[in-house]
Amino acid sequence: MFTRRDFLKKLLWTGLAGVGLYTATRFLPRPPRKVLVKEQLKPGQILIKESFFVKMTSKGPVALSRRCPHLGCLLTYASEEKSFVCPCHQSRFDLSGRYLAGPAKRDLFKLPVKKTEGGIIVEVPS
Amino acid sequence: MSRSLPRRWVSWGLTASFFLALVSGLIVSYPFREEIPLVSTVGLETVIPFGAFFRAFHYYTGQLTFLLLGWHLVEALMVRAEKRRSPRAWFFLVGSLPLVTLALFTGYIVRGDQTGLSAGQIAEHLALKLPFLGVVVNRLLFSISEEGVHRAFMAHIYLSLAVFVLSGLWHFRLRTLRLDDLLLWFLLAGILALFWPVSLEAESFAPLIKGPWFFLGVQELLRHLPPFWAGVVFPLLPLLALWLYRFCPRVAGMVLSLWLGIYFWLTCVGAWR
Repeated sequence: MFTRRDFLKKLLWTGLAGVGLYTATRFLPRPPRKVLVKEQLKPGQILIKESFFVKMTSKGPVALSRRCPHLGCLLTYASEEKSFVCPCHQSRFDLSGRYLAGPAKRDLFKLPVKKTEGGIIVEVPS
Repeated sequence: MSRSLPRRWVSWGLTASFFLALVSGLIVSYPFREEIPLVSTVGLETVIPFGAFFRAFHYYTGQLTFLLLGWHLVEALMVRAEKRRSPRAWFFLVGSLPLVTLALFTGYIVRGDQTGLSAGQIAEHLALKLPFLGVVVNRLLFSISEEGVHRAFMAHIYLSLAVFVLSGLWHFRLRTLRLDDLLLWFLLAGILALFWPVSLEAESFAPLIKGPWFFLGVQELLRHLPPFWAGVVFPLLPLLALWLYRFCPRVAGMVLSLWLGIYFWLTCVGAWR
């Protein structure tokens, strides 16, 4: 006979399985977000977007993540020093993303870029 | 004559401030929209009558709760209150401290200004440094980079309510809170809110952002030590010392005093920058 206890047990296990499944799907890797940059950049010019910097070099556009590799704070551009600075713990990077000083101890993450007719497409990790 | 209980006015001041923080939280959370946290925080001032006052009032009652909790804890240790509690009860009482700190901390994050979001991003990365539980803790409390302030907002509400209701049922009796106590702390927080408005910092390209005042010590230490030691082990030390205070008060007391001294010094250095 299917008792109330059996029903509650089944309900509990179904609930737990549902929560487990939902949690598991949240851990699956997600595809990167593609951001179109329409601005025309001159060589040496730097564009600051919400989550990345774009710099035009002689070899083409380069995109660098604005997330500090130390603890993920959003980097700012220090125009006097011509460098990127982490406002949280003062890590510093040159304009090519190379580590200069501070607790980060590694270079900025380079993001994949693709040139199209409409502009530059930057792939930002989700 | 030596006392055997923490001072009454501190204990009830803590309860009254916490209660007022919850009530004002209900008012300010009503028009809050997670998808535009900074805009809706600023918008409080126009959406609800006396919005700026209620926001500042919520801020100051939260700060008073945190400060009075610290004071209450010191007094409890001085009168050896842990001896009157079972190990399990002492474990849960001490466990409420990081929860209140987290509730206060997530309150900064949900404002969505530069200080709050940067503190949230740091907390997210620190949570991920936790062994085994990092991803789950981050999903429960922060997950700023994926979900904005949603998790922090939920954690702020749930943690505050859980700590207040559970300690109200078990550690104090809310119905014995006297009206004159409530009025006194209402007036104090009200005066602070009227004369010292709470500022917000919109996103800027400032080369230095300082986190919440009680986080400055951790922020400073993160410049010098790896994140796991500075952001996980060091903040957990006083918690461990408080749990062990029941069994070896001398050593735990020394660790606590040393930790507080170092943290105060780090906070001063961080504030001076």
